Amino acid sequence: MIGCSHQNAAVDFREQLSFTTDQARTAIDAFRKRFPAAEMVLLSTCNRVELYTAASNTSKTVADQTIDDGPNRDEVIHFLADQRQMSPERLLESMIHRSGDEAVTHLFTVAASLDSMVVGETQILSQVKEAYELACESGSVGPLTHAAFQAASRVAKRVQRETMIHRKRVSVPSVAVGEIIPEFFESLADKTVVLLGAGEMGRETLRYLIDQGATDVRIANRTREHAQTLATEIGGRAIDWSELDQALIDADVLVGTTSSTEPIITNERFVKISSKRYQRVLLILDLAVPRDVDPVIGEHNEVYLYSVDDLQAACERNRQERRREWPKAKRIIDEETVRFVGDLHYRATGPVIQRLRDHASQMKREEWTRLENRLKQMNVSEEARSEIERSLDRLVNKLLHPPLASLRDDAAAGHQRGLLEAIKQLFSLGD
Amino acid sequence: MDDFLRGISVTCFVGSYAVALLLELSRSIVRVPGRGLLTIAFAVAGLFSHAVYLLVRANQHGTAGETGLFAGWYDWSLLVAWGLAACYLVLYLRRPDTIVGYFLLPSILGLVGLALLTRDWAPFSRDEAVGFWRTVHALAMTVGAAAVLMGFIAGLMYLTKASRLKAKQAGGSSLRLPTLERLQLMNRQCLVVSTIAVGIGLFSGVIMNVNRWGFVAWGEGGVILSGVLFVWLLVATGFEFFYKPARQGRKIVYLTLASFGFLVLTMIGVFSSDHGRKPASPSTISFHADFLGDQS
Repeated sequence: MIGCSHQNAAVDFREQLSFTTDQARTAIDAFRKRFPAAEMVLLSTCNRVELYTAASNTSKTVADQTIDDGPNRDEVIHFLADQRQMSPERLLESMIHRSGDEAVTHLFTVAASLDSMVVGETQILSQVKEAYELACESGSVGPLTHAAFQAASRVAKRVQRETMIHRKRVSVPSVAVGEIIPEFFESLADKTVVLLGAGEMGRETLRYLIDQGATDVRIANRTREHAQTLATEIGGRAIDWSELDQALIDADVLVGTTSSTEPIITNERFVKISSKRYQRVLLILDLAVPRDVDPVIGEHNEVYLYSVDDLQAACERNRQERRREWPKAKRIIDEETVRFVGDLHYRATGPVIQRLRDHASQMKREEWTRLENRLKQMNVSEEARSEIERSLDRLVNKLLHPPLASLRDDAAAGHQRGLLEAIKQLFSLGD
Repeated sequence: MDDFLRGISVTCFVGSYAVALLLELSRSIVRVPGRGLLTIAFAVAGLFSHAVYLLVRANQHGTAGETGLFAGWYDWSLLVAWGLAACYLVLYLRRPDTIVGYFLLPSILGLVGLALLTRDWAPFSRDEAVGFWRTVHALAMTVGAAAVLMGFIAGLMYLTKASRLKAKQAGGSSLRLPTLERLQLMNRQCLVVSTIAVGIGLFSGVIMNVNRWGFVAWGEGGVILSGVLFVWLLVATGFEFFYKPARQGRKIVYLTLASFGFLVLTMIGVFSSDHGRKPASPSTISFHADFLGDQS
């Protein structure tokens, strides 16, 4: 794996290096032309650009390949430099390189969102999946990348399932909608929500509101067209700025997200309409800076006002809880890496074991054919001949058992003792 | 006037309920201006004549004789029908757009039909009636007291929750209470349930006492305070029903908290009198006397 992320590269560098979907498709095609035997997946998000490569040597069987195979670091750097018209030296300076077990651990860590800017955000898993699917479409994946990316998806889900790392919300709108509103209301389905502003914050909040089941969301923006666009894209209903007072009378939840420099809902304005609310509970989530709602309004009896500062505290608390879950998630990733690499090594021993068994079987068969003819001439009974043949089988198995057991143990340990190669050599099993 | 009231028969309220049902059924066929008001008027007329009929019947029964007051299938069916009619009126007033009448009014008429079918059945004796109404009284008062207590607890939870939310302590806590909305709903439900149950309890207590002694000891502390509790609950429910701001937020909570105060007063009244205690039987008194005599 060669890549960069928010952890080690500045945003302008990441922007230069990033790929759109079309650019990624073109890059994959170019990569395949340059390295026909290699596998490749390109992951490009706003926070990271990473290239995962492995060998796809058709002269080798799947089991014979290892995760260290593939184009080397310099070759990939030069490829990237050509693609993005950047100097290889600059890329070398700012990009990290991981190979073997480390590359697998890195992929699992990224997919499980432990390496994300907002640890635990779930978007990265879909981005990893999209990158893998794009590579599948382009035909640049092979057995190793298939196995690695499918395992990454499984590992990310295991981390989600077994830790709380994804369950704590950390963005202000998600905390506002996901944690504050459920303290007040059983459901948003029968509530009136008034959203002030149609900018980025408003967009994100609206998404959460709709996900949470809100059906009556009224979007008020000084420029009605923006509110209308947002309502069409995500949901809700745009209202005129002049309808705001009536919306306030009907509202159960008011969310402020505008960039207005002065409060939009002043205390005087609220006092005028408050008698028509019949002291119904009103939850105000003022996510705007500067504030959209006069803080004095929070002193009214049935009004509960939460500003960004109040929500930031909840976000920080959740961030800390996520951090506390980090070691548990890391343990899962380490465990899964060991298992994945072990499986890969174990798969590599399969054909060798098979060839060794075939080889021994062949030798036994030849020996038995010769011996059987002699035994027939000596009028040895059928029963005795069967017993002798079984005895030969047992002998072969007993002879093979210790080397095969050692081979399996060595495979599980990552072929550290080199027994696989030794057995190939000792028994002339070839490549 | 007395003769007029005595002239009210089953036909009067059955007719009123039947017209109300016809008005309800006509909803899906024709638009009738003022249908809602007419339905309410007939439902009220039915309820009124139904209640008068029952009261006159109780009055005619008197305190003499061996048969119990409201001690037969005829009376019970009519009482339940009246209760259902009251429910219908309340539900209709709350949501006139719903068709609860399609279900409730036929049931009411069915119960009146059952009453007429069992009209000639001999009623139970006074002793048996006392047993029946005592059970109803005890059960209803227990449910009423439990509902008041539950309302009080829900009220306390609401105030705790509201003060925590005001102090910006929403989310993240492992010591979580139900939502503000749920607690508010619990308060309202407890208020309504306790009013109905205490009302039934009071009514059944009156019937029980009339069957048992031939009169009601209105001056007894337990009875007076039960009556006060019921009147308070009725006022609180009416306040909640007719005064919109009292339906939500802290006001409904204050109503249930005050109800608990009245419940405590009632319980003091009950415990400080003989109300609700088993009277000492003659044999028990004799036993005590013998025992004391032996001691001396």
